Amino acid sequence: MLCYLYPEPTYLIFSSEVPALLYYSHIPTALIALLIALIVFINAPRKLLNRLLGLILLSFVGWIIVNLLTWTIIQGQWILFIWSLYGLLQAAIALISIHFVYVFVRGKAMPISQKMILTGLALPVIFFASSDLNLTGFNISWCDAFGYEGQVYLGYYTLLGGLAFIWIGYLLLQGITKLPKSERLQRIALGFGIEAFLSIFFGGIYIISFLGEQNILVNTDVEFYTLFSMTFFMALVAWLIVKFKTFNVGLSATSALIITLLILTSSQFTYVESRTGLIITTITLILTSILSIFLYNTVRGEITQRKQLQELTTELEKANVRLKTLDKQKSEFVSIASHQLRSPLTSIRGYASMLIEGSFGSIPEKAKEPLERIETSAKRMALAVEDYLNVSRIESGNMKYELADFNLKDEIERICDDVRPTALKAGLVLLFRTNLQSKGIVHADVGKTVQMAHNLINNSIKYTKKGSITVFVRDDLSKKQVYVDVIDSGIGMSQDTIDILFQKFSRADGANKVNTTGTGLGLFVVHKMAEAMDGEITAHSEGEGKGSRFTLTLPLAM
Amino acid sequence: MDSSSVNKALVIFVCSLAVLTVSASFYRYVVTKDFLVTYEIDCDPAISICYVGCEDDACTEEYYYQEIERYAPTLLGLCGADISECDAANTCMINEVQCTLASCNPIKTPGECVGPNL
Repeated sequence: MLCYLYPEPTYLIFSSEVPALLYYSHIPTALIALLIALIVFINAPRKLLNRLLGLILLSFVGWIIVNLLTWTIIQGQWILFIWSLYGLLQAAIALISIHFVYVFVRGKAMPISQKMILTGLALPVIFFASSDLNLTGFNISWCDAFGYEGQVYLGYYTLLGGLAFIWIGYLLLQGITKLPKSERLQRIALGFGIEAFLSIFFGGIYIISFLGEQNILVNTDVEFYTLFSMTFFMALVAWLIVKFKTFNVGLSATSALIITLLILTSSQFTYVESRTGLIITTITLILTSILSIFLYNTVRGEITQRKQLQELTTELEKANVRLKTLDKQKSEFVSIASHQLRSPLTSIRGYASMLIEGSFGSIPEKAKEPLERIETSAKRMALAVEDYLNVSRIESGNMKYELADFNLKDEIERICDDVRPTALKAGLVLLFRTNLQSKGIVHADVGKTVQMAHNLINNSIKYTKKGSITVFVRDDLSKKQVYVDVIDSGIGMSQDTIDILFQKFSRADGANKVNTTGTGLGLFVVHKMAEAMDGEITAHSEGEGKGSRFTLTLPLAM
Repeated sequence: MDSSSVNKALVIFVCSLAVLTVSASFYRYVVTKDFLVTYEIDCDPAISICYVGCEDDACTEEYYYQEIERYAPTLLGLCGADISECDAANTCMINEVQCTLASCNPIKTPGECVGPNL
């Protein structure tokens, strides 16, 4: 069944009777699709996303080969056989595209139930490919089968393209607004590319086929233009590969991609027939070359940076492990040393106190002052050792908390009474105020709470030269919390100081001028203790010289 | 049956069906040539009602034709693969079941037909 009006093609696909656009639209597009398929598959052959993209592209290349052959060969029976494969290939492109986008969006394979649906949708196309529903005959004069295509079959597999368009659109739009910018951009680029391809390819081919069958459109070679939608899709995929390393494609693949794009752009010279075309192709080649160099350098730079970052991260991880070990050893050392110091200090304080009190007989007046200094120094040292021990216990996780319900207001009032003589001695007024809607019962460790409150009030006394200190106990029933505010008119703090105040060995600017005996550990210990009891400690100050407010928060007992 | 096995079974099922259907198409169209063919035959507008065709895109030269649709194996039996020099291709045989000679219908496609009384 020879189409006797047409010449026999050379090498199956080269014929003088077909328009040159056929080769320009088919061959470079197929080569680009094959190249991308090869690159994504070689770089990560076990990655499902890459496999699916490869399958879409191979189906598309298959379609191009089929289309090229139906345009050139003149044996009717072969044309019909090849023509009957359009439905299979287009259905494969549509259905695999759905699975591909599913994996791209969700990062996992489609569930079996949905795969079954896709298979079910493909079955009619497979079953009826060789039946009269697909093709019944052939026009020898026109050398085509447009007049014998089954419209139901053609309509069905075109509808699969439409279904893919809608399904993919739904998948792509799901949760897109919640994505980080980079991921959103990737999804938009891929979505735009594949949706443009599906709509132009399926829609265009159906319309052209329909118009051809109705003899409305005599020149059906306009369908060549629909193939450029794949070039557009591939350009976006190439951009994703270069920009975001999507599909796990590395530098070598990027280089291969760029070189091939340049070769393909250069291949346009083969089809150029006019001077204008020559100029446009030359400009395109130059621009593509510049862009390629830029892309190559960008990718190389990013890959180098990534490697350096990985090396640095590995080194930092090792250093971190080493630091943790050293920190643990330091805590153990401090703990042992502090325990060793505490016993002799207790003896020094005790004997000094007994000497002053005259337990060993009267002592000369001259010796009293040195003995009092010994006692005071030993007391300060004992407090410092206690701070070190607390830090050591907190960091080693050995600090024990005995949580119980107790009246915080009563405890704070008692502390104020105890500390008031010290405040008066320093020329300060210590006030105690309450504003409680509840009884002020909290659930915490009494001893630790007293220790924290003592620390805060003593701190205020130390850093206030004149004025007053107000201790204010209040509660908030809606938040189920009790607050202890320690407000002073002391040296105050800047925001920078507040930011680091609760860190180890951190002291306020100018603190040394007022008090030289602090270890810089007290507030760290308070902070850790409050945290451990589901509470918190915060600091506030209007600035240096404007006083401070420390607020200890503890949970109200239920 | 785990999902991996179901996956494999699905792939094997679909691929097998696809191979079968491609083979069936090959057998039908290439081996048995079970299809219809249509082609144009010369027509004299002085005797019959003919379609008017153009020799080129600009339609500077017209030609007249009728269409014959017949079963491909019959035509192959009469003329072989090339019908250009085969007189038997220009008419339906007596008692030939699937053979239709189609002339232009001036009612359906007015303006596209030419004939003795048009």
